[in-house]
Formats: sequence, C-alpha cells, structure tokens
Amino acid sequence: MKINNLFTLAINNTKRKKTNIIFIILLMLINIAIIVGFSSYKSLFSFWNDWLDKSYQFNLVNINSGSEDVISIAESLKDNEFVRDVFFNDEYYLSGIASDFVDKNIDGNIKIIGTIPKTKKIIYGQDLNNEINGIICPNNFLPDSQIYLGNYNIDKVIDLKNILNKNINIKLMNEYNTSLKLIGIFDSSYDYSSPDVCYATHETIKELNHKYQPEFSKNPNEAFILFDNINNAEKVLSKYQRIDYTPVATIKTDIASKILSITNISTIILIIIFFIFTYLICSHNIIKDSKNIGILKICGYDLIDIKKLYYFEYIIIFLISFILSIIISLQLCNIIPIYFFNNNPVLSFLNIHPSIIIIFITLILNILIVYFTVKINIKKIEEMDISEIIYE
Amino acid sequence: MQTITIRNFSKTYVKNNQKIIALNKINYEFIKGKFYVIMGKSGSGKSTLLNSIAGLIEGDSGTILYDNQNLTNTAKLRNENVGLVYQNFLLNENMTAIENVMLPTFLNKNLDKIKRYKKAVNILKELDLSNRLNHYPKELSGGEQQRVAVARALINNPDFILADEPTGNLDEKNEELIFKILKKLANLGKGIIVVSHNKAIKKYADTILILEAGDLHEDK
Repeated sequence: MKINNLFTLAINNTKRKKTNIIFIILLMLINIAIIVGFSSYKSLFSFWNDWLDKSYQFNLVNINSGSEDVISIAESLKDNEFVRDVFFNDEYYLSGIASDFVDKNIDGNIKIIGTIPKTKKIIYGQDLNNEINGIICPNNFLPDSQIYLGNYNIDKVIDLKNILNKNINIKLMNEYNTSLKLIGIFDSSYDYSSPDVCYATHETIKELNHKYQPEFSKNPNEAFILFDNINNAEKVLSKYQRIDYTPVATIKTDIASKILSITNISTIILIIIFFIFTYLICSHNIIKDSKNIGILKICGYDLIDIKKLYYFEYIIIFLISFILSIIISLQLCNIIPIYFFNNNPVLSFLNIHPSIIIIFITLILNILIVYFTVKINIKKIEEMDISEIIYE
Repeated sequence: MQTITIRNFSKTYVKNNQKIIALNKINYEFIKGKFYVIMGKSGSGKSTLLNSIAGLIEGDSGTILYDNQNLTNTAKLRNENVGLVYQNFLLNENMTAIENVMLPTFLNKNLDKIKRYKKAVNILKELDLSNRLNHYPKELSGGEQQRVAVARALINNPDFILADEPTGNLDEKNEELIFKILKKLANLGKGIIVVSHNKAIKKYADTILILEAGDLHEDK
C-alpha cells in the first residue's frame, strides 16, 4: 500500500474514533506529568545544591572553646585557602527596624550582617569599602519579620535604586536611632540572600555594637568562620582538637531529600502507570476494533497492511499527544514556580527548566509503548478465528 | 478469472471434543457469469464453504483453484478477484458510505484520490445511493447498508461476488432489490455465489446447490 494511502486511512481512523480523543487527552496528561515531574525534580535538586553551596549562612561556622582563647586560631585560619572570612561575635550581627519602610504591610524588621567586600554581586552602586556606616542591600529588599511566613510577595519588594547613596533610618535593637548609608544594591539571586538582610563591614557592625551596647563585648572564646564551601569545614577544623564547631545554620536535609525522593518516586510510578495504562487502552481499542480488522481482511488487506495501519494510527495519536504535552509542559514549568513558590523569598528563585533529556526519554517511551502494544495486540487479532470477527 | 474449482476439499471443526465435519471432500466448479445459490440447513457448512472460497478459512485437505491455479496470496484474491458481501453488512461505522466503498481501492497503487472517488461515486449512483455518499452506516437503512456493501464488493471490478445470507437482515422489499442487483451482475458476466436459506432467491439462480452432511450437490 502506498504511504499516502496508508496515511489517509490512518488519519481518518484516528480522528473518527471517539476513544482516540480520550486516549490523546489521557496520554497527554501522563506525558505532562512525566516531563514536569522529572524536570521539577532535576531543577529542585540543582537549586538545592546551589543554595547550599552559595548561601552565606550555610557556609558559616561558629567555633568556640571553653578553655582556650580562639583568637590565635581565628588569626591562623585567615590565610587558609578554604576560608573567606574570620570574625568575632561583636562583628557579626545587628538587628533593628528600618523605620522609613514601615507601613501597614511591612513591619520594617531588618538584619545587618558583617562581611568583607567581594562576597556579593553588586548590581547598582558600589561594594562595601572603608566607609563606616555604609551598607549594601538586596535587590529584592523587604524588611519584614514575616517574609518566611507568607508575607513575601514580589509586588511588595522595595525598589532601592531611588535611595541609593542616601541614608536609611534604622532603629537598632528597637531602641537606638541611627542612619546607615545605602552604598550598593546586590543581586540576591546570586547567593540566595534573604530580602530582610543587608550587609555592612565588620568594622561598622563592631562600632555600632560597641556604641549602643557597651556591655556587649568581644568573646575571646568564640569566632565565626565563613568557608568557601561548608564541606571544607571538617577538613580545616579537624586539626584543632580543643575547639567545638557548629554550622550557624543547618538545613533540614532529611526533609529536603524526602521531598526530592517523593518527586522522583512519584514520577517513576507515573511512568509505570503510563506503560500499564497505555497497554490496556491500546489493547482495548484494538480488540474493540476487531470487526474493522475483519472488514479490512475481507477487502483484501493482508496482515502487514493492517499492522502498518495500526502503527500509523497509534503513531499519530502519540505524536499529537506528545507535541501537546511539550507545549503544555513548557507553560507549566514557567507557571508552577510563580504559582507555588512566589511567596517564599528563597524558593521564588527556583526556575523549573524542562530537560531535553527527559523530553527525549518520554519520546522514546512513547515509541516503545506504541511498538510493543500494537505488536502484541495485533498478534491477538492474528490468532483470532476470522469467522469470530466477521460474525460477531 | 473464469472459474473457481474445488477439489476434494474438506474441513472439520472440533467443538467440545467432538469432530464436526463441515465439508467432506467437496468437488465443484463455479463458472463466471452464472448465479449460484448454495442452500442448506443452519450449521451445514455453507458459510465455511464461502469463506474457504474467499481464502479466509484454510481447509484440512483438498484444494481450491482459481483459473486452475493454486493461489497463496488470498488477500490479493479478495482485493482483486472476489468481492464479499455478508448478512451483517460489515461496514466500518467510523467511515461514510463512500469511504467504506473506497476502502478496497487504497491497495491499488494505480488509483489516485480523484479516480478512487469518482469510481466509488459511480458505483453508488448505479445502486441508487447518490444521495447517501456522506452518510455513516448508522444513518442508513438496512437495505442501503447492504447496497453500500455490494458497492464495496464491486469497486475493484472482481470476477466473482460471494454473498453470505445477503438478505438475512432485510425486509422483503430490500431483499428483492438485492437479489435483482445480484442477478443483474450475473447477467453482466460476474460469477455470483450466494449462500442462503431464503427460498425466494431460487427464481434468480442459474444453479442451486445443496450442502448437507458435508456434501455439495446440485439440486435436481
């Protein structure tokens, strides 16, 4: 049979059978679930690792010793290739209320963390320098204590460009009014910085701490080490047997890995369902179509023609569902992070990238299932008694 | 193709561990241009014989020769030399009347889309179905459906038409119409072999054959 004739017949068969439309829709849903499921898993996995690698807080370790002065240890670590910054408790942290931004939706809570220059990706203004009272803030700046409890929204983010190089009024420790100059705006997506955290030099933090909290003094038994990667902490600190060290922030990796495993397992289950379901529907359709197969036989079609016709028909079905799946999956990959994670300052940086490999694997799965289900079911028809088909 | 010759053809079925002899060493020669009616009781093997001639059922022994030749490609035989008509019409419900009629022509590499369509339209017109071309089987009456089936059997201009109880599902008026069409085809030179237990067909037949106890013989 000529290929165009085969194509005409297959197209006719595909569009006229109502079950095919249902079949296309269901297959499309399964393909979408596979593409979006695995792409989400892959993107979440990369996001997770990137977050752990780049985030300031996850690479910061607190060292302390009850019996030993850690100052000398801290000094010796400053030149270590894996260490980016070493500082003490009075150079670390301040909190307050950025009163200029307080309104009915924003409570103004802000944290100012001490750091060294070149740890942030500055996009406007300049990096931290010797200027005392200079701070740099994130481009998604939102001073609020509830940002991780649902009060984060991209629409609420304050555009700091207009106040660059101007003073921001901050009531430190909710008591002491001071002004800090916004000298730069950094890209928060680069290291997943929190929207309520600005950075100043250690000298600035130390000066402000000593000015407003004279009782708050340097603790000689405690220091903070910022590593280039938290995985190097063990390697570097294991030689100092008399000190204890703890990461400043730990992430609940067990929950995260559970989420990732669930995403992965769900997708694998979906693939299995996909195989079973497709096989059952194909079988049902072909067996239901046995009368039409009998008609083809009495019209002079041999088994090879009939097989070709069914392969063509199912290839058309799978191609239509596959193309629609890709179009919808691409849209969903864009929509899902906006819809689900827009209210989380960190997860809002998550982008789900549809993976080409996953799309390719889905295509191969589609081709395999078409081939085997049609092959197996045509064999059933082949074994059927023709009179059973004709006189059913 | 001028003749279909059956030589010592036998077919046995096994049902509930019992051997049922449907056809027992049958010998007969069907000639093009004649109207044959095969009669017999239900279960006497009439449909088995017809489907064996069409190459849809393989016999246990014996041969069926087409112009004295043993054909191995029975699909080609059904497409080019033998047209089949059944009691239950066997029309594809998802296709219109004209699409059903065109179905056998898709195997013909020499027919393009337009020729195929024109040919089907002409046959359907001859069978008085020109106003039913784009109707689906469920939109047609029984008589119309059977005429579509006849048109489909005729589309590739076969030498023989084999019909298994073609009027079994029709009223008297349509029954007569179908018999007349088949008779007309026989007069035009086609070999018509009809399996039926409808006595009304006898008057159209050139030869009446009786199949009983696996044996085929002419009705004297």
